[in-house]
Amino acid sequence: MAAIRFSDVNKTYPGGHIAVRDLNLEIEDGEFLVLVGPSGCGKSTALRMIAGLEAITRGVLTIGGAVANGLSPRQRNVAMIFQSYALYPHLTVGENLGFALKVRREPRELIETRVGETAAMLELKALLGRRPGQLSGGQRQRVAMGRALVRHPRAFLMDEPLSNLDARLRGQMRVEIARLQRAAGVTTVYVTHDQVEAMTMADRVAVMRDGVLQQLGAPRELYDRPVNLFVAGFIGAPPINLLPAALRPTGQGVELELAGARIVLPPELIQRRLGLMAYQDREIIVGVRPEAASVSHEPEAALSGMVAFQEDLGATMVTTVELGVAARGDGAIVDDLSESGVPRVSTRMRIVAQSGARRAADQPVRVALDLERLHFFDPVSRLAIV
Amino acid sequence: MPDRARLSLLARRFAICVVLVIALAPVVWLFSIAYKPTSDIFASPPTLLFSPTWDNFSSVFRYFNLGRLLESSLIIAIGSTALSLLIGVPAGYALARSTSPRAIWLAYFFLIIRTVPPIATLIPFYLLMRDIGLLGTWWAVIILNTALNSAFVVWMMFAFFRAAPASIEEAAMTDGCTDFGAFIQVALPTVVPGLIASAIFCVMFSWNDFLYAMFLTKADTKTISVVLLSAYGTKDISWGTLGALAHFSTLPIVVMMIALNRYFVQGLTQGVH
Repeated sequence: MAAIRFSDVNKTYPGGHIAVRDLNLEIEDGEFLVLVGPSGCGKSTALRMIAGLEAITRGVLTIGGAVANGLSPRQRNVAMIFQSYALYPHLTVGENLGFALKVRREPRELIETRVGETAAMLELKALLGRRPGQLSGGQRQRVAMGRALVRHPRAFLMDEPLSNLDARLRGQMRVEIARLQRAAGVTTVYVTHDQVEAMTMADRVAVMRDGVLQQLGAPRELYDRPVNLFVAGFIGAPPINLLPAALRPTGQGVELELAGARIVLPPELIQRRLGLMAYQDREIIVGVRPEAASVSHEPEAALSGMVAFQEDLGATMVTTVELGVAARGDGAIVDDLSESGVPRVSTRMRIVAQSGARRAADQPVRVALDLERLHFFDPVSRLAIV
Repeated sequence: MPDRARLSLLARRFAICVVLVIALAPVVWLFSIAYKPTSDIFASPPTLLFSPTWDNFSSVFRYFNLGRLLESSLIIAIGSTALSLLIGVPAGYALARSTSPRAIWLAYFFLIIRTVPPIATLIPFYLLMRDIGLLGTWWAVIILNTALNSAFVVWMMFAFFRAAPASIEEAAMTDGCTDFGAFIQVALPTVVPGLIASAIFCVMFSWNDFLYAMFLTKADTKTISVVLLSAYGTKDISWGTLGALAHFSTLPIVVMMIALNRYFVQGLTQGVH
């Protein structure tokens, strides 16, 4: 077990493409850190640099306090689980599990003991004589986990290990991996583009984009206090609603002009976010988490709109409301995600409720907002206004 | 099955039969003359019914040192195949794992080397072998066949390694292997069909090589393919004897091909991705 530290680490490929830019990140001993971001954000490159499979162009990487830049993968004693599982096709499950120990010339008795323990832990005993080609996706995933666990490495590196599984199995394995990591207490760096995995498994999440670390923090911190539009949009499912708005000074304080309505912001809220004072008479972007708004019958509820459609997910009801007449009929109804998975700024709002009445499309509704849970962003810098 | 599909199937089968007859007729004729008395060999029209004779096989053992001929062919085929694999397989692996966009062009360059007509290289190679004192030895033919066959192996193994995921080698390295260890313990076992297909091609090329073996060997290092042709027209050697000798030249390769047919087809169909 070991802490891992990136200090000003850069990775530039021969063609000039910068995959990782000035990465500073410390992963504590025993911590479960999830690196998350869209495709090409540099998360896998960062992971492969820890494994020693990618050279570091500039900066320092330490594992367990020792500089690891020049160490080969075998000298680092870290175990990696690959997206494709990368099981050795010519070896049986038992031989796959024991491979790392055999390479390290451990005694045969020790190899047999460790393989037996690991197989028992992962319920692989009945499969020890089979080859990877004879296993299901879930079984292969468990063998890949076992191959990492069997060696007692200093760190686990996991590169999208669940992305080849179906949704149900992914849910099971998510819990299983988190449980095994807690039990083993081994420092773990887990790469995924799935923010649900990031939120549910991590002690801390590092959000990356275009090779740059955007924010590092506990899942709840990222959800409640995103530092920019990207993090706000990437973390959370259904994603945050981003609405165009403006701040207007009035005699009583500051009003938020949003979807044709004017909402007085409480002075306490302004006190906590003094940055808003600088945006009076300026356009901003307001972020509303789907559960921070509710469909209401109260006439004094802040916003008015029309139901676009509803998704009944059983436990929750997701209602999409079109705010303001002008935006109605613009674009495709479900096309509210950009390519990077970040919501577009629009006047369409998705609202999640524990339960709710079925509403017909085009039915007029009012929408109430939890003002304390609104997020404000600068439309130019895209940074959160705090 | 609709009439049109049935007709199409029949037409295809007929075409295959025609091709088979054209391809096999010389082979059948060559093999059949080994069992015919001399008087029946050139009978017109050809005799389909004749009394088989073993005299031609007796002649083979009388006129030729068959053991020595097979030994030469075998040593040259196995020697050049082993060397070609030893050189070509690691080179194909290195090219396949290269991140350079020029790697694929280099792989094609190796394929082009294999297409150079052997006759074009014969004179310089002859002089070279003479100067280094290898003329007349098995080594001369082994080295030259290796030069051509290893280029072919590079190209072939390049395709096989390209098709195999690099992640298992990376897994082996994080599991504690060196680069070379990952190559030997993980990469090679996953391309066994490619290794066998490459070996088959090399054995076939070397066993059937005539030109280099003809000019670079001497009497006691000649291969069976060279003797087979050089015996043609010799006063004492009949066509029947040549037919019998052809059995020993052909059957080892045919048996090998039948036994390893699966890998051979795989080698032919494995494209460069």
